[in-house]
Amino acid sequence: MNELADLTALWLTIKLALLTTVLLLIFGLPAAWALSRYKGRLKPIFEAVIALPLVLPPTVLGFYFLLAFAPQSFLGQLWFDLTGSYLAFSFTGILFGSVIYSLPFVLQPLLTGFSQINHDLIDTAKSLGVNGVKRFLFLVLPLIRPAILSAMTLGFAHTLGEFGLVLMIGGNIPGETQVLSIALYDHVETLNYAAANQLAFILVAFSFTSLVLLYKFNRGFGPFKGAGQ
Amino acid sequence: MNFEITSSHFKFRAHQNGLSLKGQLPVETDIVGIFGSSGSGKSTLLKAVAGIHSASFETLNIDYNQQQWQDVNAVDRPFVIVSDKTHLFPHLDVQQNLDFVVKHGKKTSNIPYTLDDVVHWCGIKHLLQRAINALSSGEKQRIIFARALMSGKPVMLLDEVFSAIDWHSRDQFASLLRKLKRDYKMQFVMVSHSLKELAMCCDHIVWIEQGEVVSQGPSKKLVTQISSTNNQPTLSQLSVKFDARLAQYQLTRWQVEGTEKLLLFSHISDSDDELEYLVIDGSKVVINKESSQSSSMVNQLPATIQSVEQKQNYVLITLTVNGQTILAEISAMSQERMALDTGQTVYAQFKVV
Repeated sequence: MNELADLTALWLTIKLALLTTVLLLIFGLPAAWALSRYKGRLKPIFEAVIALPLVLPPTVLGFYFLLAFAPQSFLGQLWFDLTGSYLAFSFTGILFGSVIYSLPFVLQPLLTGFSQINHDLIDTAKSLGVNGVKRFLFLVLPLIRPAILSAMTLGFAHTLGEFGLVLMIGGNIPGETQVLSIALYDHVETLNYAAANQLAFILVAFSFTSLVLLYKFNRGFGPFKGAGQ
Repeated sequence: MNFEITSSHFKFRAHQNGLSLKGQLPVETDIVGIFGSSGSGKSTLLKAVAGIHSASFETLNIDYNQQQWQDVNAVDRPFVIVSDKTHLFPHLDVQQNLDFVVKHGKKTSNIPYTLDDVVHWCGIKHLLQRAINALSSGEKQRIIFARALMSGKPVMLLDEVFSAIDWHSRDQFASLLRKLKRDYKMQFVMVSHSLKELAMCCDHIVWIEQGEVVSQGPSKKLVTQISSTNNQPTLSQLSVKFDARLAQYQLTRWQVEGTEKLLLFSHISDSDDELEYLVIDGSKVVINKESSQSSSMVNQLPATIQSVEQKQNYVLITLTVNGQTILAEISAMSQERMALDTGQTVYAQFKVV
């Protein structure tokens, strides 16, 4: 029974980490591209917003999410009207939370990647008659491939280790919101150190492996200078 | 093509007036050269025409083909620019760089020549599988030019694009430009600080200094005008017509335009164009009062002295050959000994060009 619950928690964690990474890439790539090219006065504000989850305690984020997800709040109400379910203490809720929580880990490498692209390459493609969408898909994205790999690995690994935020907004519902780190906490609470040990090891092994893979395979592309002659 | 560009943000080294360029680039009929020293504003002009510029201009008008282009996105303009800011895409190899444009370019559907043609013209077949960082700068320039040809845009703006290529190959590229113009109606504007390069292929030259158009006109006139003033070698541009290829000597024989009697020899060239330009270096022209067969110089043309000018450390002799101008530099001592004067008939001799 315990084993099965742990497996469920493992699967839930991986699902959460994968979905978070995918969502962040989908929104993060165009957003980071736009921000890297934006030179206006509000740039530091945007950058601060992106970095904010890095420095805030997860409980602060969690607290605000809890307020926002409450059924009587605007967002909670809207979500209920749209889907017929509640955000707080649900998988969708912790997915929302994770997306914000891991946002800096995905956006920062992408921003760095984009800002290191030699703008002359973009101009070259323009003059050759290549339009904006194709430039982005076939020139910009391949150029920042190392940055995308970093962003994916960091986003994934960081979501794996999420604890406080999930606890605040998701609670501890097996199969719905009980992720690995929370199951681990549960085992420690009930003094089941053997099971805790297992989960802790799985988390370390997962994170370690993804980082090793990142450093191994990203090296081949070199430090992404981005460009030029 | 008419252009008008003004900007007070531009400051030039010796000159604080900003940029005020206005003029005409007759690309429809001529290969147009833009001459100027570095920082004169010639590259700025080209970028403005191409739509690749970060600068703000007070006035910007680009009028081409009965249309205004200054507000059109660079992607959709009929101009493709090649400059020192034009790079190969570093994540692709040579072949992929060429394919990239063919696949993703907007205007590549109706190109009248094939990629194979372009690869052959530019002499890059042996480079196709190379990585970008394994290329010399001359090889890069060839590929960048080839890639621009595959964009399908009819007007090429070339900013010092052959600077890392040896003179013999530059001569071949000059012939290639003429061929592309003749066979495919391609149009060219070529920027260079080297008068020799412009003289090799341009029909019309616009001279820009310190943000202003100093002079413009047929290249024959401008080449002579610039070479005697601007710290450039003394050059003359001679129009010639292909006559014969002398493979046994590795020479090409040309007729001076307008006469079948006056023949000139150059190193063998791939071109059998109707009309070509030969560029003659004035410091290598020898003036002889009599026709002579006893020298190793193969080229000898009867010429009339138009003017004799005392320059700082040489005497500049302007000669006319069948209506065309050849400049010759001789020493003051030779001038004293020979007493050359306007109206005299002499022979201009020089080696194979």
